[in-house]
Amino acid sequence: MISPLEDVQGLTELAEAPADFETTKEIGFYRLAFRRLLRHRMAILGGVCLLIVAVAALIGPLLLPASWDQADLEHRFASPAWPHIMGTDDLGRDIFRRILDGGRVSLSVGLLATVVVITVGVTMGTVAGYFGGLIDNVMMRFTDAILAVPAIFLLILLTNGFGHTAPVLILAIGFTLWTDTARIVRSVVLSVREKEFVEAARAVGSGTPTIIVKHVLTNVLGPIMVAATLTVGIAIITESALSYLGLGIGPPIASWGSMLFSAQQFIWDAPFFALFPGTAILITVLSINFLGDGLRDAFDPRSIER
Amino acid sequence: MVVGSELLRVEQLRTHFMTNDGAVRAVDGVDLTVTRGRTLGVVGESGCGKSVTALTILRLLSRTARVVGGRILFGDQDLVKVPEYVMRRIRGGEISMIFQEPMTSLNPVFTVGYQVREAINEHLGLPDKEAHERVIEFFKLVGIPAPERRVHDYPHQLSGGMRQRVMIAMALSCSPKLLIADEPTTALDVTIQAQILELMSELRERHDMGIMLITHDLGVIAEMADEVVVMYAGKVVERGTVEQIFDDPQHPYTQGLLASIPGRKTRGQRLSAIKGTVPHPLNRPPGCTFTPRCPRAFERCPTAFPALMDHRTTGHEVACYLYGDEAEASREPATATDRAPVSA
Repeated sequence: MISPLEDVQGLTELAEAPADFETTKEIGFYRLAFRRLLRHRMAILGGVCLLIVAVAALIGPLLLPASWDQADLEHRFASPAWPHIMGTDDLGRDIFRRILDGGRVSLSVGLLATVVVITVGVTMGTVAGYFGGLIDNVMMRFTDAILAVPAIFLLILLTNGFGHTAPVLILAIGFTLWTDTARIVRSVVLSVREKEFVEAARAVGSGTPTIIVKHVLTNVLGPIMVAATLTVGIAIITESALSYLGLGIGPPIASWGSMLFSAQQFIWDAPFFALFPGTAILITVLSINFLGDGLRDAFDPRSIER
Repeated sequence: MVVGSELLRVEQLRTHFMTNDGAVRAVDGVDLTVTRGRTLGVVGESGCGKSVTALTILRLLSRTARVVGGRILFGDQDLVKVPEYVMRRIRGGEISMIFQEPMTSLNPVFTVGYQVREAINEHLGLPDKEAHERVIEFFKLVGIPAPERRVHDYPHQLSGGMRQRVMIAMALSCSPKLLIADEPTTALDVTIQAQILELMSELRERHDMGIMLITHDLGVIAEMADEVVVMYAGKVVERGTVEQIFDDPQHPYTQGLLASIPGRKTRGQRLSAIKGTVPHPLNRPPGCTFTPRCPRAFERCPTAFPALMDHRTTGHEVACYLYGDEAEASREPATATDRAPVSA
């Protein structure tokens, strides 16, 4: 035991000590989260798969002969074999080529619809959560109203009303899917706006726009990224479902959903015709969900380490 | 005792929270004055309206709060009435605030240097390089070692004491005239607490600031304050110089507070405590709100809240029927919201 007097002396020295420690690396909140994401095996697997699908869809069609996309009635329903590794469809077109083309459509519709979802959802959620009161009430009841209408009904209504083009499809999907994001963002904003650093920012004279953008949104970025990732998956499925119902982008433009639609009448004679686009959807959406799960874990405040 | 000019004068301030159960009278007639170059200590138990008073001055209260009366005179402006854009310039620029929780008062996603620079940009509009230099200068001023490196740190990389220093640097970075410190050392351990208080006194001298120090720790008050205001249940019950309050406490509440400090004299004895708790603001007793807990209460106490008066003309004011002449106080109406006249 040291005497009380020495103890006090020691404490003072200790109190000074942490200030002098050398920080080896600057690690920010988001860098920590990214580091955790890299350790998440399934998320990395998902990310890599997604990257392969995206790159293939982007440059693949440029490498394959253009004639493969033309109808060739002499070679209908060819079984998978070289050079048509996935076989040919009911019009004799190369299925692999069609999958890559469809991937462009599905991925871009999925991504752009997500941009719409995030824009609308984050705006609604942030405004409702930050300002609260009547504004919150009105906005959230509007959200509830959208949720109360079956999504498929809304989608059919919008696509039939405005045409089966890509922009309409993107906006329609975006408009039906933003509600979840808005709710998630609102709930996080509700807790962030009560944090002391928001009050402290106000106390140094920051205005409301600065506080929302710099202090609230930056702390909601994690949940937004998770929501965005998962939304891409849902948007791709929705696009496929609409195309399958014949409400997506019309022929001859390929989409995974519309390929499934044309494949269904030949399901017993040419099962691979349905198998490949189905697998493409499955792999893509599964990869996105793995990535989303990884992001969710990476941003989980309970797993924050120093 | 004129050392500096009057900086802030709060008169009969009343802040109520509108709840479903009725108006909570959190601050119910508070008078206080902060002088340039001096420290005003505000003491009282939890829930007696100290923090709400501070937040009212900076207009940082939630929407449910309403200032229902009184004035906050700062310079030639009444802060209750000035428009929001003027208030924004005052916040951080002329009046700064340090909060109780250094752990959560900094945004975890930005470096501490960036956050202090943001406060500087908000008011001084300096070019980035100069603002950066000013941040380092203030980090040095508040005793942060190796400020050139620390500005790039994130809040979680700093200890509580260092974070509170960052908060103080941020509060001082625009050279405010008044610093409001709401329990600045409560979350810190004793040695750090002493350093931070020392730092605040030093900076007050150097910058000729006024400080309004809110605390429930009478030890801190004794060390730091020049004048003291004792609050109870939303009202000021006693005010005077730090010597007057500590050497000659008049209000039974102040006496109780002082008696409950553990000290050398009381070693081996039971620690005395004021019995009971601060009454709920929705259910305050009539008259003097301290009556149910007061060891010296008599018939007159529940009739009306006594006026804050300087009975001995020494500048030491107390709101208690134990002192002064009967006639003057008995004219007060028997309502809880009575306005106590301020004696000069």
